[in-house]
Formats: sequence, C-alpha cells, structure tokens
Amino acid sequence: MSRSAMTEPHHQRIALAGQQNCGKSTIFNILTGLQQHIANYPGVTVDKKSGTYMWEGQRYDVTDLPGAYSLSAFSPEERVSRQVLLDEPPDVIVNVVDATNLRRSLPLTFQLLEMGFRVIVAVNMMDAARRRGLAIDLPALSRRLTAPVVPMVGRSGKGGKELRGAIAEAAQAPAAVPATLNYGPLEDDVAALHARLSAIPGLDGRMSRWHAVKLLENDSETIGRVSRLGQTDVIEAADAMRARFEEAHGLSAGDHISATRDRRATEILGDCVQDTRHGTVPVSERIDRVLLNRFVAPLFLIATVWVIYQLSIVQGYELTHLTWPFLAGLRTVAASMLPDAGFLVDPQIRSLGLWIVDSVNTLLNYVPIFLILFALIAILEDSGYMARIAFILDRILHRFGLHGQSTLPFILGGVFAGGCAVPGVMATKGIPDARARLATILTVPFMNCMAKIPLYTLLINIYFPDAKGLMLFYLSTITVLAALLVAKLLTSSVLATQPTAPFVMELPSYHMPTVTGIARRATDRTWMYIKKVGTVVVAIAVVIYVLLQFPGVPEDRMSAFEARGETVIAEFYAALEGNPNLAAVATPEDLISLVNVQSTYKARRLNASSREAAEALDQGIRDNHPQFAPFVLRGRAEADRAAFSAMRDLANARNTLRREMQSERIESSFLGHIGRGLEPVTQFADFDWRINIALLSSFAARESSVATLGVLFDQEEGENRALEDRMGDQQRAEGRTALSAVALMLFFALYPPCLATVIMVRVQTQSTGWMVFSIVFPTILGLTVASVVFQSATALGLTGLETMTAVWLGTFALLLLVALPKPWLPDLRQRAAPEIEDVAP
Amino acid sequence: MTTPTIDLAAETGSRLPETALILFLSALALAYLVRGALKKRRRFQSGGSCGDCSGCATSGPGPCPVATAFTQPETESTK
Repeated sequence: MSRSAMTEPHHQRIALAGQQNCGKSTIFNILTGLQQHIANYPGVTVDKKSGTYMWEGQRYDVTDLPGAYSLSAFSPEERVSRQVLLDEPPDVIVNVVDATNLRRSLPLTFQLLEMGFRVIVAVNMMDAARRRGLAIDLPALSRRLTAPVVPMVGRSGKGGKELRGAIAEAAQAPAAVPATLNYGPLEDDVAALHARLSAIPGLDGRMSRWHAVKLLENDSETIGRVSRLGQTDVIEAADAMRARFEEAHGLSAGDHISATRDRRATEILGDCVQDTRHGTVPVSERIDRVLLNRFVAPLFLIATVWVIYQLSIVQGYELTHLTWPFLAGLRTVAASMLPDAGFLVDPQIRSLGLWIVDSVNTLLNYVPIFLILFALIAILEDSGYMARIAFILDRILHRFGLHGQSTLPFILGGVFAGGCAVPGVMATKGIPDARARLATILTVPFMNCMAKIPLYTLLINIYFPDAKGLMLFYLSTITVLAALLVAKLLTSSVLATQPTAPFVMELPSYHMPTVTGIARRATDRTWMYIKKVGTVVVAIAVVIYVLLQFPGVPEDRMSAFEARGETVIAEFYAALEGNPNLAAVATPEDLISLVNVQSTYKARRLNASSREAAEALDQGIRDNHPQFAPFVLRGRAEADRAAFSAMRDLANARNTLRREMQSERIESSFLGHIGRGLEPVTQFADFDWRINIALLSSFAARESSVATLGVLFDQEEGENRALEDRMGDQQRAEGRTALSAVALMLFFALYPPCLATVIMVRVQTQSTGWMVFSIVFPTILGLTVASVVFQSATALGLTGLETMTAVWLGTFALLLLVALPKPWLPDLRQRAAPEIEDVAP
Repeated sequence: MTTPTIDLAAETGSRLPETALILFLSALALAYLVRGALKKRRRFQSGGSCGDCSGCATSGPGPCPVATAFTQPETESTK
C-alpha cells in the first residue's frame, strides 16, 4: 500500500490477512480480478501483492499481506504484516480463514480485533468443510466474533459479491471498538499497562490494550517502539509484571496469552461448529498410521525412491534407444542443409551448426527419462505423499541443525532427482530460523536437480550398465547425507550464532491424482526442459564453441597437417593409377564431392533400421551417384575393389588427420588452456582438461556439462553415435575406469550451484559474502572428496561399484555418528549460541 | 593423367567474413545469456520465479508456483 494511496481520501484501503494456504491469494484475485502488481516489501524478500477494484463507484486498493499465523515479530512475514498494520493502517481488514481449520485461524482474528480494526471474516473453503462433515453456524460465529462473517469458496469464486458488499458496508461504518479478550490472571496487569500506554502521545490510543498485551508477551518490536518514545519505565513495569506472573504460575506470560487465545478459539468453535462425522477416522489418517509409522516410514520412502529410479532412469533409458535414431536423423538432415564439409577443415558455419545439433541432441536424448520422472514426481505431489516425505525428513533434520521447514526447499531442490535449486533456495524465505535458513540455502544446491541427471545417466550407462538403479540410489541418497553433514558442520561453526525458532507442520489429506493432471504437469515440465535446451544451452554452446575453436591451430602445425593431407590425397590417386574409376574423381571438386557422398552414406547406413532400408540406401547411391558407387559400395570387379579400398584408406587417413587437428585446436584454444591449467589441481580426482571444460561450462547451466562433452568427445564426419558410445570408447582407450566416473559424479553432486541459483542465493541472503561462500565451499569440498575417493580407491584396488558402496556406507556411518546423541560431550553449540529471548514467543 | 590437388592452404587459411559472422553470433549468444541473468536477478528480487529451471513448471511472473502450490509446513509462533 503506497503512501500516495493513503493521502487520497476517496480510495478505501483494504488489507487481506490470514495464514498461508488459507486461500488468501485466491480471494485477492477474486476481489481484484487478477489485476495484481507484485513487488517486495522494502528491505525483505517477502512478496507484496497489491491491486484495485471498483465497487458501486468507489475505488478500493487491496493489499495482500504476507501469510502469518500471528502478529508476533517472529518470521519476516509476521513482521511485515504487523508493520503494515501499524504504520499504514487499512480502512478494512478482510481476515481470510480456513473453514476446515478454524481453530488455528482464530488467534490471528482475535489480534486483529484487539487492534481495533474493522474486520470482516471471510470463511474460505466452505466446500471442503462441508465434505469433511463440519457444519458451521455462521450467524453464531459472527455474533461471537463481533464481526461480519462471509462464507466463501475461493476456488469457484463463490462469495465474491457478498464479500465486496460487506467491505463496502464496513468501510462506511463508524470506527470499530477494540475487542477485549480476558487474560485471566494477567488481566489486571493488562489493564494497568493499557492505562499507562493510553496516555503516551505518539502511540495509537486505539491499540493501547493490544500493545499492553504485546509488552507482557515480551514482544521485542513493541518494546522497541515504546522504548523509542522514551517510556522505559513502562517497559520496566511490564518486565516486573511478567516476572511476577511467571514466578507465581510457573508459566511464561507469552505462553499464557497464546493459550488464552487458543482456549477462546476452542470455546467459540465448540459453540459454532459441529463435526457431524465425529468419531470416524478419516482415510488419510488411516493411511498415515501405516505410512508414517516410525519403522515403516523410512522403508517405504527408500522403496519409493528405488521405484522412481527404476521406472524413470533405468526403464526410461531403454526408450532412448527408440528416440536416438530420430535425433541422429535430424543431425543428418542438418548436415545436408549446411555447407559441404571440406577435406581437412569444414566451413565454420557447418562446424557451428553441427556443434549446436550435437549439444542439443545429447540432451534431448534424455527426454523420455524426464517425462517418466516428472510424471512420477507429479504423482507424489498430487497424492500428498511429498508432504509426508517432508514430515519424515523433519524428524531427521533437527539433529543436523536444520529447521523442519527446510524439508520443503530440499524437496523442491530435488531430494529425488527432478527438482531445481532455484525454487528450493527461494522457498527458504519462509524459514524463520536464521541459522537453519542459511544452512538450508547453502545445502539445497547439493540436491539432485534435474540438470544433474544427464551427466549421471551418461556416466552410469557407460560404466555401470548392470547396476543403474543401485548407482542412482547411491547418488540420490548420498547427496542428502552430504547435505545433512554439511548443514551440521555449518550450523556448528560459521552459523552457530544465528537465532533459532520453533516449527509446526500440517499434513494435507491424500488425494487420488488425475491422469490429465499428471500428464499436463509432466509434459509442461518436460517442455520447459526442451525450451531450456533450445535456448540457454544453445547460447552456451555457441559461446563455448568460440572459446574452444579460437585462436585455432598454430600456423606451423597447420602447414604440417596440410602437407600430410596432400600426401594422403597423392596416395589415393597413386592407388587408382590405371583404374577406370579414376575418371570419376578427375578434379579436386569431384574428390570433395566423393568424400561428402561417402560420409553421408556412412552416417545413414549406420542408422538404417533394417536390411531393406540399407539396401534402399545402396540403391540410392547407384541411382544418384553412379560414378561414385565403386568407391562407396563394395564391388566384385577388381577395379571396383581397388577403388573401394583406396577410398576406405583415404577416409580413414582423413578422419585421423581431422581428429588430430580438432584435438590440437581445442587444446590450444582459450578454454583448452584453462582446462589444461586446472589439470594440476584436478588430476588427483582424475579429471582431464575435457572434464574440466565440461564442468566449467556447467556453471552457466548444469545441462551444459553433457552438451559440452557431447562435442568434446566428437565424432567423425559421417558418424552418428550416441555420446555414451563415443565417450565410453575414448575414455576406455585412455585407461579411465568406472572409478574415474565415481569421482566425477561425487564432484558433480557437491559441485557449486549454477549461475541462476547463485543469483537466488545472493537475493535470499542479501549478502555477496554468502554468495561467494556458496561457490567456493562446495568447490573445495567436492574436489577434496573426489580426489580422496579416487586416490584411496586406486590404492586399495577397488572397482567403481565397490568404491561407491564404500563411500555410501562411510557417509552413512558418519551421519549416524553425528546424529546419535552424545551425552558425554558438552553442548558446544548451545554455548556458542545462547537462546535469543527477544524472538521467543 | 596429372594428380589433381585440393588447395588445402586455402581451405585451412583464415576466412575473415566467416570468422566475423561466428564472432558476431557468439556475441549475440553471450548478450542473450547476460540479459537472461540480469532479468532473472530482477525477477528474483521482486519475488518472482526464474521461469526456465527444468524442475519448474511455470514461466509466469509472481511467486514461484512450485514453492507456493505446495502445502508448506508453517511456523506457529503462538504455540
């Protein structure tokens, strides 16, 4: 709500208040007709939504306050809500409450009424309450709350007109009288403070009683506000009253006040709400009794992870055998549309075009995997089991200094594969515990975001074809184990002095997912992946191309290649001396044409799906290029056999030359120098310069690691092999084993966040220092882990699978060691971070 | 018959217009990436979503729907 709006008397200021997930945003959209502006409240990263609507000639400015359960200075949302209400008081507050959970909603309603606002209670989700057998006596509720009550079904827009009418009526009504809630044994103290606060100029007299209650709650912001007015004696009086009460009742005044509001809410609900299905156990609860059983829950969770990987990545990979020929065909089409290849060097446009196609193809090959994975994740989300995972993990998180609310960011970040660190880091803004929030921000990037999957899939298919499911299980769980250990390390060291806060969790009911809903979500997300490949990855590929192609092969080396090329050509012609087929390649142009026809034929022949298709290709050569047929197709005549043999030698020699030139060009390129420069550090983890380049390129977008490998492990002109085959062959030829893959995967799991996540870390922490830390710390950690694992496993002679198993078990053992209670050790963290009283309720 | 020779020197020599075109394209790509990063930063700062992360189902403005559509565990400070 802007200040300018406040100065215009004809605009009524409306604020929407309520807890999160009560449908407040839906009501906001109903009122404003989706005309909303989203900004940030100054200084904090809490959404500020505002909009306007006209009703009977009157303009209403609506502000959607952040979701909050109370008006304590506790979470950023609560602080912001309170600040807006105190500093820019609205004319009317619409308090949106969840009809299925009124008991949790009413304490906030009481506080709004105590502050003396005109309040309209919008009881949302009436349909859900009806389905659950809750009969709400709305007139009685209105009488008990002394406020108008409007029933609503936000999803279908029901009640919008009535709400607008009620707002208009309330806006014209005289100022409201602040409600008084009887705080029993504290009532005399409240009254005494109320009287003293009422006399203070500069404090809104209407809210004096509410401020009095807040002082007794030991609310830091109220204390600060009163203190700034020079009323330290009032604060001292409140301190004395609080101490007296706590000594007499053995209970904190804050707890007593909260309990009073809760009791009052329960009492009102007892009079106004009837549970017609009282005594029956809801289906969700019956399912939870099994799935959330302390012994069954972890087993079912592990089984779920296992099934997800088996179905998506293991079975999904089988589908890529069907899609690859299509992608390879696209490459052939692209190659035929680009300028022809040269003998030694291709035109840059052709090289760049095929570079892009190879980058894109490598990643599009995983689309079937993502479709299945996204569908399975959508099932977990829609069914309500994902929230149960948060519940199960919450039990564990606390032992590692994390907050229960850290589970949501972890799940969004990809506890299973399929998340993204950006929304994961973004979701941390709801965590009121500063220490846990920072620890979560710094560990969410360890999760298995969607973009890590292509590299995992690539390496696992090359080195672990018989243990795909197991390896993915190891990788997905080891990242969680590592995140927990790192969180513990951080919360016990650099974050030890950050304040903490309590946590309460609600579980939604189970739902049967719909086929259309699942299909839509899976295709939407997969399409998002394809779009990213087609835009960001292509742009990165172009930049990487230039950095890998320039400045190019040194002149003296190029002259040597030219000389070898000329020798190869001379040998070809020498072999054809006296051969009648020589006439077909009488000119240099003919020879280039032959080379291109032969390489195109070879590519298509490799992808021919049947014998008939292969024969059709052969026939095509005979029909379209009869003069080249003896060179390309194996013939029976002596002259044809000689031509075929000469061509084969020429093609092989040409490919060798081109491969050597390409290798030299890349190695002497800008990025090649950087990759080589990093080798002294990365060699202990067995990363060569190509892996270094791939990892560097993945900083812009993780998917680019595989796209870059797709072009670094390039293929001959005329080849159309999947990256798994190319890279596997080349790596094995260089003596690399599955152990190298394990080191690389471990590094990639702990690797720094991508650029987008880094930006989000900066935004959420408001600190460049933490942003830099989020890059440097995982790099050092990842490289150390990868190097130690590779060197140790090499010394012990372990295989890749044995190494991964050992690493997993070792990490798990370390986790148990950290997590299990150690009563014999002093609590160092508590000593370093004394409880901060001013944020405690 | 004289052996025909391909002018490999011409093939491998620098081709300025082509190189200029490639450099121009890469500058465009780089500008696109930088623009995307700046746009993302602005959107994040205003509470918006990134819109192109593969784990995300939206490209629209506003709070990240992946984060907000999920039933979030909440803090109840009054307890």
